[in-house]
Amino acid sequence: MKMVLLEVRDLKMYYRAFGGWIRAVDGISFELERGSTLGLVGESGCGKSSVGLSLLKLLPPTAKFMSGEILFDGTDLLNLCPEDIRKIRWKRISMIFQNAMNALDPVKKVGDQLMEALTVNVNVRKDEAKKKAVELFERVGLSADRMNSYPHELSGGMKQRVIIAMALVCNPELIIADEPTTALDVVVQDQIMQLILELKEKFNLSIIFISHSASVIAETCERICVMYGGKIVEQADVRSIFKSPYHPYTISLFYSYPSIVGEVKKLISLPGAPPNLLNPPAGCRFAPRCPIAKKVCKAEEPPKFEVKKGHYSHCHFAMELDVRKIQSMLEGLT
Amino acid sequence: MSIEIIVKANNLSKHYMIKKGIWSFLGGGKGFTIKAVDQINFEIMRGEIFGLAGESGSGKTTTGRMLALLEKPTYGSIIFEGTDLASLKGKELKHFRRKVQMIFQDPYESLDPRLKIYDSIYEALAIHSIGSSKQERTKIIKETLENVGLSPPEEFLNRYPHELSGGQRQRASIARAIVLKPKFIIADEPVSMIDTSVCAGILNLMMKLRSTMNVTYIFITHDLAIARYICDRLAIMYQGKIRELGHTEDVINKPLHPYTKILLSSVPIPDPGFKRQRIRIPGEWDIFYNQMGCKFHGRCPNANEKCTKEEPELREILPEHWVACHLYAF
Amino acid sequence: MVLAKIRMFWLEYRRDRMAVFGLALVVFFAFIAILAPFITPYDPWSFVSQALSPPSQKNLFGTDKLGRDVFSRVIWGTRVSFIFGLGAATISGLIGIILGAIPAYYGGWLDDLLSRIYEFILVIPTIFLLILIIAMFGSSIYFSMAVVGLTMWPYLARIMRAQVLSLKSKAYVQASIGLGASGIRTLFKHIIPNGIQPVIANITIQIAYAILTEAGLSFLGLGDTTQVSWGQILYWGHLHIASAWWNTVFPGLAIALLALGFTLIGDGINNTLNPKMRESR
Ligand SMILES: Nc1ncnc2c1ncn2[C@@H]1O[C@H](COP(=O)(O)OP(=O)(O)O)[C@@H](O)[C@H]1O
Ligand SMILES: Nc1ncnc2c1ncn2[C@@H]1O[C@H](COP(=O)(O)OP(=O)(O)O)[C@@H](O)[C@H]1O
Ligand code: SF4
Ligand SMILES: [Mg+2]
Ligand SMILES: [Mg+2]
Repeated sequence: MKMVLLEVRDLKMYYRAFGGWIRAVDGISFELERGSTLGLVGESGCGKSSVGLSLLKLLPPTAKFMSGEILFDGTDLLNLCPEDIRKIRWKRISMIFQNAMNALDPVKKVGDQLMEALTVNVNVRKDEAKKKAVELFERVGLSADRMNSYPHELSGGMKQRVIIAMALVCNPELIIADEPTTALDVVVQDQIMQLILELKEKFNLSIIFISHSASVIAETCERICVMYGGKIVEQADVRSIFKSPYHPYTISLFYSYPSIVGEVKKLISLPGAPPNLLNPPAGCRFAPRCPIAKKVCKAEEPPKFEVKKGHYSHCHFAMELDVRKIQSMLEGLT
Repeated sequence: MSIEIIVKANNLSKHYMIKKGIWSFLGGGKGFTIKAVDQINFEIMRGEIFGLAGESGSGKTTTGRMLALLEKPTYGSIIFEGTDLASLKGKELKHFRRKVQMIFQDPYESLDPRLKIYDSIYEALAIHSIGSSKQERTKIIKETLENVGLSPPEEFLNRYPHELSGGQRQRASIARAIVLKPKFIIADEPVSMIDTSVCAGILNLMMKLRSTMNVTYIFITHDLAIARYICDRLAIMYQGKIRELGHTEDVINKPLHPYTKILLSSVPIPDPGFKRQRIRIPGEWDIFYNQMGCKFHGRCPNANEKCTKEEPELREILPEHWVACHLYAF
Repeated sequence: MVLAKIRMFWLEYRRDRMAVFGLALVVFFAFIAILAPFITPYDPWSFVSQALSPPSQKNLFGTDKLGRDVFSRVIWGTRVSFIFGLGAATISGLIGIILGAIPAYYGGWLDDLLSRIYEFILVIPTIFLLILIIAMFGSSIYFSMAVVGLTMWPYLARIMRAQVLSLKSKAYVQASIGLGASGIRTLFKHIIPNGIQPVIANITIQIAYAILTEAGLSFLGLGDTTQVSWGQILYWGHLHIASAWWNTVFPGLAIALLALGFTLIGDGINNTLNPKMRESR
């Protein structure tokens, strides 16, 4: 039987800014089953990291939850007091932050930094912490003598492994991995992806994978949410969406990056820019750049269509979409 | 169509003497040499896009900088349109600077933050005294901005780099380079720091410029999927040496060098149904190797006795397909 | 843009209270220096009252041993101190920027040699050098101003050099070279304008240092006796420090406040440009 670990319902989280609110997360809903992987994909600035940070309630003071629920194992995190959040944060949900490997303290040994994370989060004595740290290092594929290294003595891949070890200190149930392989070389990127998936199998972790790369998401996730301008525009099982996407944005995203296999197709580059989240367009946020947009798109927000079982699209024309046609239209635009 | 060689590298090498600093923990107290680029040879034909791929630290940028004369080779020579670059001075050097341009990796650093886009491009025209009046130069600048997809140009002329997105900045850098109508462009990972969804536009722009302006490119990338999309021929570098060289489709579809095979098997595929064959790699991939024989043998799944002793040479194993590996040495 | 940048800078700068205080001090003294002819009640050289009379309605800061009005003298001295400080710092700044930037950009033996030279100048105690030179070649205020300027530039050169070395590898500088720009053009158009801010902060601090040095030299009897500088007033006053405190306290206070003002501004600029330092304070 499948069990839902996390359910996000109509989450809205805005940042206060000069001249209004930045609608970084604007009405997002998804479910994550225990032991499964979910991918958030979209171009930078679409709100992926903001979703991740909202789940941990690790937001700057300018951020505000406007509505919605984050049900983690049945409890709404938005209703919890800071004290109770701390019991969940890092202990049951942890995060691999974007660029974290460059934020390691340059003057402390990585082993010490890991032990610090241990003693802060788990009540352990120094010698126990040491033992646990060695164990964690081995778990992420680092030899224990690397504990005495400083960050600059490690390669990018090794630093990312240290970061993963830190996320594992409390044996969490859910890990949010925000662009964990970006900025790594291809071989190392692949190894890190594999490591995360191995850890997931071994410890029955649930993972939210954030990436701007459709390829990485295709290989790591079971379910995928495509985000555009603070909203989820399409949501489906990964096989279903790659077989037949049901949103014009998803189509443009999938054909915007080349692949190493298959025939070489002309890449699509969308003209225009992503919406300004301080003052997003009315109706469908993709309408200004959409090749098939009609009047209704600029006036009304598209509803959620279930195009197939478990495959949702937020496009007025989701039910009558012709992928080939859109693809050639997009090619014409580039 | 006759094939004309525009650039030729002969035993091109760049060695850095490291005296102290962060490398000292590797070499002990005394200095040692990093062979960033070590005796590489290649020819680039006019009109082609020649790819240079490999992981970071393999010497791609150093090679590019030497081709742009931003760095002097330690050994070897570069012949550009028949002239040895080492001999260039004064007027000829300036002429070379006009014909060869470089596009840099980091769009956030490649434009002077204090100058408006207009002034950054204007500088190129002023240096080479192109255009007789300010109006004429402004006209050229506008046309160029239009040409790289920054339109309407009026909207971009007076903006500062920080007011543009990464993709737009990279387009502005390209504008600054092509305003001189160069013959050869060295593009150093021009899309590696911008969003995947924006990068298609830059790649398509570069291909368009090739056909409209007849530029030749050397395209540096660590991403083989991008190399496959844009390059006609591809050289794979590892630790300062070219390990494999051939037509892109040959290198990607029929790789010969074990290193190329590992790289290719690590590229994620945007198709959940596709099951990649990963190659198992002995030892830690991340560790810095610098030893005798083939420098790749410590990571190579196929290494044999000979690999630990002798450095293999780059040889033409199949027609127009070169590889430096002892596995093909008979 | 330039205006917007200055505005941004000011918004950040004014959050540092001490820096704003320093600016106020300097602006205050600058007004005094400009308006000196209108606010001095007496000619600073004429004998107006009895010698060494204490502060009174007539002579706000009292008189010196020749019966000259200390208040008027301190006000005139503001001009001399400003000119001295600004002049010395300008000399130091120009030399420091040029000798810091050009050799660092081109590298090679000249860079090595100059680095050695300023390391050498930095380790020798400059005050002895000053005393030696001024004792040998005379004590005209412009001469000592130049000498003070000439001893201070290595500090600036060192900062400028570090900036050039780090900016040299920036892509936009490389791009400029690649476009065919001459070294001088690249330096003056891209490198120096982008790297000069910490140098400016330190030039400001050097103004304070120069003002203090002038006072020190005068105090040692190496000042220019034809000028009404704060150092000169101190020098003439210190002999009577026990009996006529007003002869030393007022010029001393002026020196301290103006030097403090410039130092606080320099620190303020540094902190504004370098947020890390601000956090760690
Ligand atoms: N701390 C913040 N304060 C204000 N705006 C922010 C903050 N963090 C992100 N944003 C804005 O929210 C939007 C979404 O950002 P982010 O979640 O980082 O996107 P992504 O991770 O997809 O790149 C962007 O428009 C960004 O500018
Ligand atoms: N100025 C330099 N001084 C010393 N070592 C350098 C310098 N530039 C590059 N290197 C070294 O040369 C090697 C190749 O670097 P680079 O050409 O930048 O590789 P890539 O562009 O393929 O990542 C690296 O090991 C790098 O550390
Ligand atoms: S709703 Fe309209 S504008 Fe939005 S994606 Fe669908 S067709 Fe395009
Ligand atoms: Mg992000
Ligand atoms: Mg590089």
